[in-house]
Amino acid sequence: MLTTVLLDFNATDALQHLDHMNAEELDALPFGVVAMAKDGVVVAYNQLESAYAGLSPERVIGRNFFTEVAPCTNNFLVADRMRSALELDECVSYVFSVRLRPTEVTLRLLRSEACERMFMVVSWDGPQ
Amino acid sequence: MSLMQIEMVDEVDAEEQVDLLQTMYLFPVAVLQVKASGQISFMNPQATQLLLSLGLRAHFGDGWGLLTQIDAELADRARAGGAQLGTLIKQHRVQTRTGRGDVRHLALTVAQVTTKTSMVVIEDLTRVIEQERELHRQRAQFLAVLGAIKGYCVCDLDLEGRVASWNQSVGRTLGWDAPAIVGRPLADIVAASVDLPRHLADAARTGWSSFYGEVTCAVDGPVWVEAIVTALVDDGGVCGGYCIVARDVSERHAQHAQLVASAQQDPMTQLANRRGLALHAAALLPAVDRERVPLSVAAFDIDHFKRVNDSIGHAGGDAVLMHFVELTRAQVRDVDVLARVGGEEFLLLLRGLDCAGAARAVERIRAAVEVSVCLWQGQPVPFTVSIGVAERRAGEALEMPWERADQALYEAKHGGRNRVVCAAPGA
Repeated sequence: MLTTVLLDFNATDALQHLDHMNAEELDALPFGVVAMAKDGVVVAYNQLESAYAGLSPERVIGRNFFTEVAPCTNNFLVADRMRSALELDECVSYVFSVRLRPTEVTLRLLRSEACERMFMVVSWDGPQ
Repeated sequence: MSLMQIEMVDEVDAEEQVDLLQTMYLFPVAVLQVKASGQISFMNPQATQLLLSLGLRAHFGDGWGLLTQIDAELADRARAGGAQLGTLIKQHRVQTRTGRGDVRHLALTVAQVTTKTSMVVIEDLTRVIEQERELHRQRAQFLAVLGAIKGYCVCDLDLEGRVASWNQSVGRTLGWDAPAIVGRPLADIVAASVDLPRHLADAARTGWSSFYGEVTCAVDGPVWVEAIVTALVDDGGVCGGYCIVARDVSERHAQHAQLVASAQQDPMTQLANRRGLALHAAALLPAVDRERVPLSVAAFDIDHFKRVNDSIGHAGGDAVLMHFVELTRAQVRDVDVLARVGGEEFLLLLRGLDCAGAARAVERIRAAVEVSVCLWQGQPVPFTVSIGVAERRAGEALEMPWERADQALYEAKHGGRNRVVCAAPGA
């Protein structure tokens, strides 16, 4: 079966595309995706993100990402921006403790009034 | 063990592994595992974020180098601890700086897990310590202010009303040293007229109460205070004690008492004036009615007083008045009330005496005045006094026997002065 990479990490219209993707399509992406309601509750958690973090989607979906899944993001750099901005599309260099080892990642934080969900996109290839 | 059972065990193990991983993600303090070589085998997200904020990203591969950056001596101890298992360093407080130069207060714990593995726990106490310092600073400031203000006392009471703490100004205002008073019931030094248990109960119920009363001092006489009692309530709404802030109002109280007294007193003779007499009568008349004892009223007028004033002046006249008052005071009992009701007119209330008894008593005064010598500027000033006596009938207001005594006095004057006349019983 042909797998098409539908989206590039740096695509300008990433948010519109992500917002229309179902779980299967999100799983096919070559970067981590955490989709959240505007209060931070996880609504989708793609396969790559799950594999890196070592947590199955069942353990994460329905929980608040900033307080119940990854408290290390509950700060002014990530959580405060995502919770408060109305329109947001920013890349942040960050260090995740992936399976308890510090790993440099790039986060792309996406949020818009036009979309119900907001997204944290994680590039696991280091700085983009 | 069948293959299926083994797979199930593996699955359970895997589940437990993920539980552990998730626990570490949520762990509220920084945890790192360091191998003897210094390699960091794992660090939880809290550790990552803390070490990043301390600017130690370069040492993520080197646990000992990282600890050395925080506290070199501590790192040496941790590194040397290989042989002995268990906690090597427990919540050792360290002060360090972030990459941006802010001070951070950390508590480090190092445990040797195996001979080759150490666990390092780092707690960031910066906020706690800063809050503690701020509290401490505010408390010190508050105490300095309390210590400096005069006339205010602040003391804490426990639930039973015993003094728990006592500030400096209390010592200054009341003369009590902390050792002499802490632990004693405050009621010991508060006047009985203050219902302290009621005020404490009110404060516990409504948050506060206030009272005005006397407090015993260690050295001098009592101090009058105006006090506010506040309940010390914990987060759960439970009253754990009381705080009393008291202001020394002795001066104001004395002024007030002085004003009240002077309004009822004749300034020269210190006798009751008409207002004072009315107050005395208001207390005395119901009492004699209740006890069914007689009361007589004697009206005094110094004979030819105008002549005395004209011949030796007003100052001389005042000397004669004072002489008369001192003589009379010496002749009356404590239960009698003597008042100055006009320039040279006086009224005496004689408790327990009927008209005849009162006449005998005031006759002694008349006789004493007649034989005494008042000296003014070295010269004797002879004078006499006329007296009218009337017995009060039960239930009568003071004015009625007073009126009859005045009538008798008028008769005494007309009868030649220097004499005592009793009002006729039927008058």
